[in-house]
Amino acid sequence: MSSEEPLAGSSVNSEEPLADSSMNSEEPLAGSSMNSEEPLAGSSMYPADHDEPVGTPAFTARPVAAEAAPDQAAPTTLSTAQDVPVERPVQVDTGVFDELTRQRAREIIARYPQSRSALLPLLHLVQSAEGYVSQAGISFCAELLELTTAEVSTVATFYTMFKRRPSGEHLVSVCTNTLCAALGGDEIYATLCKKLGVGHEETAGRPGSPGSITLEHAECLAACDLAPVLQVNYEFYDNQTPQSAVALVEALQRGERPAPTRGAPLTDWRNTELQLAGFFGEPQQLRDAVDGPSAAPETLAGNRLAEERGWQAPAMPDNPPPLPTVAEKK
Amino acid sequence: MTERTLTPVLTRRWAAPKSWTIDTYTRLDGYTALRTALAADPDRLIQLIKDSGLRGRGGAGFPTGMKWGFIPQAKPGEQPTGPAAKPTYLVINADEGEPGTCKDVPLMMADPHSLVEGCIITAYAIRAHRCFIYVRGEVVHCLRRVHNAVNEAYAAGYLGKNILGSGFDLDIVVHAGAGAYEAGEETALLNSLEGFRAEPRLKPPFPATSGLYAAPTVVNNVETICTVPYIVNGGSEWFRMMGREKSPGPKIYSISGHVQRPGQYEAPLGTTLRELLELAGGTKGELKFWTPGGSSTPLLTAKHLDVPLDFEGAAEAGSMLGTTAVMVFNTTVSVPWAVMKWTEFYEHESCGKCTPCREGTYWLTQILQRMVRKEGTPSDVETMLDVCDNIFGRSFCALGDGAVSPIRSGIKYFRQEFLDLCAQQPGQHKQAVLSGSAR
Repeated sequence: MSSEEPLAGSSVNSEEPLADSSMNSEEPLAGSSMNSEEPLAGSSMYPADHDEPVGTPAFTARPVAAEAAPDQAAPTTLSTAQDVPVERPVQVDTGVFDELTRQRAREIIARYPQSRSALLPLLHLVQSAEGYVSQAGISFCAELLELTTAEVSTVATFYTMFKRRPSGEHLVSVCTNTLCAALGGDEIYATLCKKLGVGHEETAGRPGSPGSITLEHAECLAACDLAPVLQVNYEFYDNQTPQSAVALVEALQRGERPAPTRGAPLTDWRNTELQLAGFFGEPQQLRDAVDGPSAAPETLAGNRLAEERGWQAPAMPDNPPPLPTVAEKK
Repeated sequence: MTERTLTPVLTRRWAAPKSWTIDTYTRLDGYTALRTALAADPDRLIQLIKDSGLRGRGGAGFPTGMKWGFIPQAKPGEQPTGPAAKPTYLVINADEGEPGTCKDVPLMMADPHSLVEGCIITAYAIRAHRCFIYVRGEVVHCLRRVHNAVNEAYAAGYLGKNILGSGFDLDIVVHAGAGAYEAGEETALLNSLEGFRAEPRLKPPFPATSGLYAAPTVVNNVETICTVPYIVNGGSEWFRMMGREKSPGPKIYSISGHVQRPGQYEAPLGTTLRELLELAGGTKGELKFWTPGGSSTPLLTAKHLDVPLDFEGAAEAGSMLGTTAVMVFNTTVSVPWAVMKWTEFYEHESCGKCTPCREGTYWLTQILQRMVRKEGTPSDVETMLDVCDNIFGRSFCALGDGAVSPIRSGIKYFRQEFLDLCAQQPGQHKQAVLSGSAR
């Protein structure tokens, strides 16, 4: 189903008036709202909401209404839609998410004092299960967090790491921000586009099949001293050239997994997404991944130079000095 | 004190074998400050950080001790009311993404336990029992290193219930972001952590009273928090032996671009570019322009080699210290092109909440792109400055202010380069059309 589904759903049944009324009730608190999302986005700022679970009754009304009148719009809510054929929200089957995924989802939610905080990790989990944020994935998160699909969609579409189309076995992200670009990042990206025959957020090969690669240009990847950089599944490949980048994607297409300059042994994008959701596998797997290299010569440049020249920070006193007494409030 | 050299404090352990493990960390004095802190009065810890003059390392330079002091605390023996009655939260901003900035990522990879120890001490000082470390999603290796460090700290009894018998409880949750520069703004980060879009909130109320879940919250940068254990061990006088009066302490300068040895150099605040370039083996080619602390800090030029790079010095030179992300560009790089690339970044990362930033960055990108295509018109420079005036100070958060920095400073120092692009092929732009004008 198209990504418009949550919007269509919200326009025809009980969801909107209820959601609206809850927004309105907060408006005096919120003051002049910047836009229609402001009261929702800021709702937890206000004391009245503080101790409430995220799913207030206002947000759970949709499925109930939809089930109550299978062929008609829920009659008790909107007056405008009574006598015209009404498009009901399409029921999305979330059965694709197995019991293990559901168990993990419950673990994620348990990490937070308020369940909605689990939304970003849950969307990472959805991507690990399906290879993108599907409509089923949106519904899955909405059900678990007692949100509307519209509320989940608005978040899922905001963040660049959430992909709305099935992605490749590997995700190759090339930094094309100014500094990397000046040192060759633009050329690397252009070369890979040509090599793979794809553009930004497009996949070479059938998405999900072995050797398939989704390409993207990325904003600054926080490795400027190692520019130009690219990432495969968010592991760093530093100091790249067009030639090294082509060799890298050719290896990936052959099913090889060249080791990153900094990062854990390469797996695939979906596995990385599982880690972003907070699941790192067996303890030994985590230890092995943690021990992947991180200290490039650039990282240690200052450290090495200080050692060479015998520079040190001023010596600390042998024992921590006594703590100061608290200054009187003026 | 006059000789400015490197002062490895936060970077001291980086070259140690398996520096990220708890064994290495404790062997190199790790978790000693924690014992001192947990035996102390929390208010005196806050006073220590105030006395040290530590200022936030995330870009704004707000005094850290003062930030902690804003958290409402119940008076002894009294029933807490208002915000003081709510749980207090500590949130670590590890969403490093400012172009040029690459200090927190190597810091978390190499020495994640210093972050964990800093979190415990800070949480104890502000009386928080829950801490969230919001790590940028794209740096999964940091995420697993920090996650592993938290696991190790739990196993060693540094986290959880009754830490080291002190009666103090703390839980840390490591949370991965999902790709949004704007989430580095502290209130946007809180929204993101609550499961919303990373859009900034109106301030006031400030996070100190209405932060995460509308409860009192301290949001601090990684490097700031990693500094805390050293101040506890060394004291404020020791800390002030480095840096300058109003900007004390060591700072990780990340030098990138056209230099011989790019990398991480930890030096006292107030170090100049001339000194940094000497450390980094000099430039590659002739220095043309540079940023003191990321793309949101106005560009400087070869005239500014001796500006002391601390909060005051950078500001006096018409820029900002930012994150001390020193990007160096030589004469092969076109200023309008560089400014266009940065503006494309701000356009992409503008969250869309407020109009000046959303529309302004969009149109600035259009103008710069056509200028770089050599289809600019002579009035474009003035148009851009006009648009900048309508963004700066008028957008919801600092992203808008940051977006105009490269443009304004680029035109200030290299106006002719922009004009030349507009004049190069005057016949070809009979009617210059902005490609997005039908939007």
